[in-house]
Amino acid sequence: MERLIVADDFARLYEEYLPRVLNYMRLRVDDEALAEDLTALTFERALAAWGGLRSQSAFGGWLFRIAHNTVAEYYRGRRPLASLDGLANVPADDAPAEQWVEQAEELLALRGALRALPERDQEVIVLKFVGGLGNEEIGRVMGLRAGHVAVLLYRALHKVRAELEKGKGDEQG
Amino acid sequence: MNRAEMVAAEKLSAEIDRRLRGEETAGGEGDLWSTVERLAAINRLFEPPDAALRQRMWARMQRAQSTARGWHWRAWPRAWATIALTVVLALAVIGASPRGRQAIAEVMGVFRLGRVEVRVTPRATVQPGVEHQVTRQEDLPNLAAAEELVGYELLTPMVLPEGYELRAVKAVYYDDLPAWIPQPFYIDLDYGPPTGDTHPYYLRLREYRVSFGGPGEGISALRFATGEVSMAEDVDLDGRHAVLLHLPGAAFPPAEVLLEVVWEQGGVVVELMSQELSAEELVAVARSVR
Repeated sequence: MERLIVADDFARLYEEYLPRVLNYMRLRVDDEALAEDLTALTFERALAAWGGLRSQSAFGGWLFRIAHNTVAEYYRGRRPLASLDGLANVPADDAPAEQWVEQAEELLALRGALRALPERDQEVIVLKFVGGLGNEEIGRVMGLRAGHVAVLLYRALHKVRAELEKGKGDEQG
Repeated sequence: MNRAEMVAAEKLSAEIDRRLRGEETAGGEGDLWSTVERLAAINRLFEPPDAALRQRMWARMQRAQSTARGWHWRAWPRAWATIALTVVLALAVIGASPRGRQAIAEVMGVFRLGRVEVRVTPRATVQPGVEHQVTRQEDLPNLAAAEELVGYELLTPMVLPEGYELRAVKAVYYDDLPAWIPQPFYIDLDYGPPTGDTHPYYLRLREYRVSFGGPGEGISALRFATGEVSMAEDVDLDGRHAVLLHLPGAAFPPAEVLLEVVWEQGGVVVELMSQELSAEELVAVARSVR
């Protein structure tokens, strides 16, 4: 006789979404400890409201709406940080040193480009590429129609490309 | 926004979604698509949260939840508190009889053992959730091999029924559990007569590793999905709270019931099971576990 161990669905979803929510926070704030703190707060709030979630298939969008509100609440009380110092504390995984440097540089470049964008453009890109959300879900988080999200994303991507090219030009110059 | 831009935006969005799902994609405007590819890899540039961080955050969530529950309790009006107290007293009265205890065991099989909450739930009432099953089992040559595997000294009974000895040591894995839960998930120590029937429930001591760590860490609830629980009662193991369960649906023939004592000791959840010993004998063995 072997027992079945029944784990809560929340634990499974926590495992699945933790890396993405943490990365979302890492891109929204500069300090690693603060990113962890806001991530923990997001999951605390999600767990407290878990009973009210009607469908688990909507979990991703619902969770990122909580994450979005948590960051917004944080910034309402503080001015956004301008420095990128915290980035040095974000190492890549078990990669060799050269690869680590490349990854850190790439992350620095992308993060720098994102930070140059207006708040709303940053949010749509982070929700799409870090959160992996569809346009409908992003629309629910940001209070926009899906069609509007597509256009916002399209324009934001052009801006990121321009910022990345500008960054490359600055490096070469 | 003009019509052409909207069409291009929606087309690009659809391609990005396909790319993020790992499906084949036609890409998009050359330079813009290389930006998409760079952004699509952004999650891999970050260090993934390690086991310690996952567990720390999980523990923080659990603490926040229990604090919130405490606040609600304090916020209850006095009338509700009185009603709740009446219900608790009624349950206590019902629990004084064997039939009552059985009814309570079937409806409310929840026991707090130190930091660990054990829910014993008849299968029919198990809430929908993820059911994890044993993925592999490893036979180990002796106790020392098991201790080497888990990295600490295992608990063992100091008193055994006459003629019993350690017959088998097994490490049991649930590989699909979250990564921060240590594997093997538990160790089984099977005791019994050196010869004869080889069924494992002469006496089996099972030690889970899940509650290792500081206070508040580890799994807070284990829900054992059993076929049936006919009786559950609190027992005292020389000052340590334990629960004695009668599981009629879990035994090997010809026995009719499997008896089990569950408790927490030194951060480890322990189950002691037998279909050969009486409840008194099983509890005596449980008291000797060090």
